[in-house]
Amino acid sequence: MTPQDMIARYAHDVARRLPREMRADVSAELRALLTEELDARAGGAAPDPETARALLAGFGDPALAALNYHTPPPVIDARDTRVFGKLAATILTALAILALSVALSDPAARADAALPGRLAEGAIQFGLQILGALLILFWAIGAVRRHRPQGAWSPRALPPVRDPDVVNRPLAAVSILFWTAGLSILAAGPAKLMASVATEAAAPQLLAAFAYDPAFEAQRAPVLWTLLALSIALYAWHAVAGRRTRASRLAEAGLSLVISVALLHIVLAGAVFAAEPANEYMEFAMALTGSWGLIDSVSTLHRENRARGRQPFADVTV
Amino acid sequence: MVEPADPFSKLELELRRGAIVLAALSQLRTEQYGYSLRQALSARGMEIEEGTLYPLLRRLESQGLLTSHWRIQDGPPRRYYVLSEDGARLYARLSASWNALSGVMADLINDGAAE
Repeated sequence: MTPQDMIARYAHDVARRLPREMRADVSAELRALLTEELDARAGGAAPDPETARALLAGFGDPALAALNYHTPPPVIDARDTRVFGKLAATILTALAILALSVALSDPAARADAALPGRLAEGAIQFGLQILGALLILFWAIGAVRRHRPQGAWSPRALPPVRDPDVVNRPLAAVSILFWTAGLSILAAGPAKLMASVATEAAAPQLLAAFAYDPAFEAQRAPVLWTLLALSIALYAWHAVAGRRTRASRLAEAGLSLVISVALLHIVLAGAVFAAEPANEYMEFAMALTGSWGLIDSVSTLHRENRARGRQPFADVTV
Repeated sequence: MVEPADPFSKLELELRRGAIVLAALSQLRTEQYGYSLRQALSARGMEIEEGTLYPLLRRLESQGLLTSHWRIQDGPPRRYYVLSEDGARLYARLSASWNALSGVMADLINDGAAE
């Protein structure tokens, strides 16, 4: 290939990445300029391919050189990138957890070995559709913003600063009452509770529908109720203290991790309720809570570990 | 443009970006084509890579600061650039800003060196 061919190809490769109306002009100018540079480097002699290669290498990758001529608008504005990433990650994670929870809890999955594969395929397809829709939405937001410049920014639009470590005591009290009542019902057993509070004899079918599986009630339930009681106690301690510290955040995330693993173990170990569909709904709820809790607690522990040593005054109240 | 990795090169590039525009405008009060402009700047000690300077001329033209036309004169066809009226006004303002900034920076740097 002659040096002139190399320059022609380079100029074409840069120009083809530009808007159509610029291409011919930029290509012609680039060819003329590079030819002149090459002749100057050759110092009056016939330019050789090695000199041409060195010249073009100095000019750089055609894709990057084209960006110097014309920078197209981004698909997602830099200011929206973080929101887009968080939204996409949250939706995709929720979708994966939902598919996993259905696969773990659906009684049909035990009989149909192909069901988990179909669920995964459906989740991937739906996830890709959501990603595509998000991409179009964010591109449209950026395009509208570029074509309709916003007015002067005002500090009035700023959201209030919230301290994530402060515990809202009234809300915490209501939550603790609610969770304690829920745990009491679970620990006593919904069927036994119905039988004891019913003024007349409860229907045997109703009691059978909400009776625990004997193996769950004897082995796994006591561990789970103890862990949940510990979790409520820890939250009550935070409510009394008024705010979380690094140690209490770590304790909370650690306990959440243990509970999440226990929930997933219970779903995989066997039935919770003796009858369907109560068992299916309970296993679905446990798989959903366990998977989300697992991801949330691991990410919290990872975040705390990364922040260690970076915030020397993190636990100081200001 | 590929961003250099080491901090000095990166910061030096940031410093040079604004100066390169002003340097190019300073030499475009008379007509120049890309290669002759690069030579003129180089002769004054301002080395600018081809890949930076040539696209810059296009960008300045698209902003209305330069006008250009193709011409054949003593050689192959060349695209000649010169300051537009807007470009000349902007160059005068930018030069004044540069001189003021340069004075302030000299004071700051000399104060820092004296401490």
